[in-house]
Amino acid sequence: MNIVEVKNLKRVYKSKKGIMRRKTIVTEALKGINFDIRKGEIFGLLGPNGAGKTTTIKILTTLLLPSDGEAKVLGYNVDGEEQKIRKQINFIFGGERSLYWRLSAKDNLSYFGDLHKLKRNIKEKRIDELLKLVGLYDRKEEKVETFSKGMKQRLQIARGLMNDPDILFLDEPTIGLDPVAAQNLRNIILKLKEDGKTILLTTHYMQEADDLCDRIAFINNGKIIKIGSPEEIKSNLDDIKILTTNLIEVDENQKNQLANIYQQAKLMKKDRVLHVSIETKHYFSVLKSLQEIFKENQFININTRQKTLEDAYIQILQGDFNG
Amino acid sequence: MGNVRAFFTSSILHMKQTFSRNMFRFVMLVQPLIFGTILYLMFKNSGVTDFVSHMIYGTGLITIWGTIVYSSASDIDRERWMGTLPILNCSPVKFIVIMSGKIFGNVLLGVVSMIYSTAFIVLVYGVKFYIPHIFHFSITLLVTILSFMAISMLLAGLLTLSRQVRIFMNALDYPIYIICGLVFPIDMLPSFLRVISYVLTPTWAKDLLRISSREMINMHEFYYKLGILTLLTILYFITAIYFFKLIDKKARVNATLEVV
Repeated sequence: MNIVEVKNLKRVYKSKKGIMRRKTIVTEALKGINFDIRKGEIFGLLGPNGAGKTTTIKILTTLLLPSDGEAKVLGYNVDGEEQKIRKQINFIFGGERSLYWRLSAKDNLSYFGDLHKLKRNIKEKRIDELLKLVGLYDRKEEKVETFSKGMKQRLQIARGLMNDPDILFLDEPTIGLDPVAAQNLRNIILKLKEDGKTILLTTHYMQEADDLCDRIAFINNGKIIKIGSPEEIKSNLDDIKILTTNLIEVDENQKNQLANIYQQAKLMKKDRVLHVSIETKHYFSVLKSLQEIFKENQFININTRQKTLEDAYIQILQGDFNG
Repeated sequence: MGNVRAFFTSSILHMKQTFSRNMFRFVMLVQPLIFGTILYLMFKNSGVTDFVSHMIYGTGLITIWGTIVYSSASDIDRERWMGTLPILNCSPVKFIVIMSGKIFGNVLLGVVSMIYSTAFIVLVYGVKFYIPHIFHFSITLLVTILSFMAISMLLAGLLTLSRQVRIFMNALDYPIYIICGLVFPIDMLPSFLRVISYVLTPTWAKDLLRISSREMINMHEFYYKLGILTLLTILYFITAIYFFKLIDKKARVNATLEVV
């Protein structure tokens, strides 16, 4: 069952430039995108800055009106039926804002609960539950301005869950967090999925998308260029592996010789060590060549790995994808 | 019921937020003492018969106006900078209910400050002040509070819609003191300026508060001016509601809910 349906969605931004003869500049942020999100899944929207991710989220959360096309959330149109949508969704934008810093964590959640017209007993119970979920129960009476960035992000998650939404929109929720805080937040997101929430997530961290998302859409220049599960997207890539090795005491002749044979090779020399990275379908023959060229040198290590979602992302965005 | 609770919790939250700002504490606690003292020194030997009411209501209304200029009018903008504006705008409670709750909280703080400034003038300068007609005074105070709420909403709406207006906002305190007769009677102003005075509610609010503090009230004058203040307040509210509807639509079209 589709819980979000987007058909030929377009959005343009207009801005004025100049002082005397003001010119209207029109920017096409979305150029007719189509996708849907199924109930209970984590759907990732990935793309470079300015690709249209945040615009898409803002339209689906009723913050922006589409210029053309259709977007339905829980069966309701974002243009005209926004009040019905607002009761059942919530959103969290990355960063430290969107909270009242001079109030306590509890006061913040209490207020946002009131904005969702929660009954007092339900609100109190939920505040305690959510503060425990995000690990801030013991700090509930403290002002938000005393919290670390990670704590603020976690409080935002709690804020976003106050109305027990069917769909949660997360726009770069782990941006700027340290690895431990980011992992904690990812665990909370997985717990929410277990509880049956549908989540739309945008992120620049490919490993995060790979770990969390059931399906992913790559968006670039206002267009969706690929949709599928992380496994499908990776399996559609060429059967290319990446061979990496580090060598000691390589001279310029050897380096040039390698570069002439493998023009796609990435070579980086630091102090006495040359780092070599080669994408290839035939890594045994590459290995043999390396051994011939560098027979006098010491190999520190040799590794091969499959392409990751990040490799797929770069390949697809560079227009190299043939799958 | 949910809307009523959201209105009052918005007020309480806003009062807590506002009072934690140094600028606002100055406006509420220090500025009334300065204005009270200036007005006392101005009126002491002026020969004006009811100078006490001029001084007390002048100081009080200047204080309330200060809370509007330095807080209410730019509240929407402040929410935008805090990143909370999209959340307020997309909550099931209507945006105008939330903002009017916040403005109500602000005006209440202004009224508290007005009482505080009155106590200061009475205790420090030993002036005699009492309210002989509690009923008429209470009605006047109620309509005055509503009128200040209306003008705050109007300004908040106008400021959100127009960046040009925002530039002039900080220059809006002294002209209002003069044009609305908060410092001296508007009879002293040139007639073309008095036209502006008559469409601004603080002019009528101060007049009514002074009338309701006299021993002998001219009932005809009182109800006439109360009628005008009420009418202007209703007009302000209607315009503010229109502005807020416009904000809701324009914000979603022009993407102006956030700081880019």
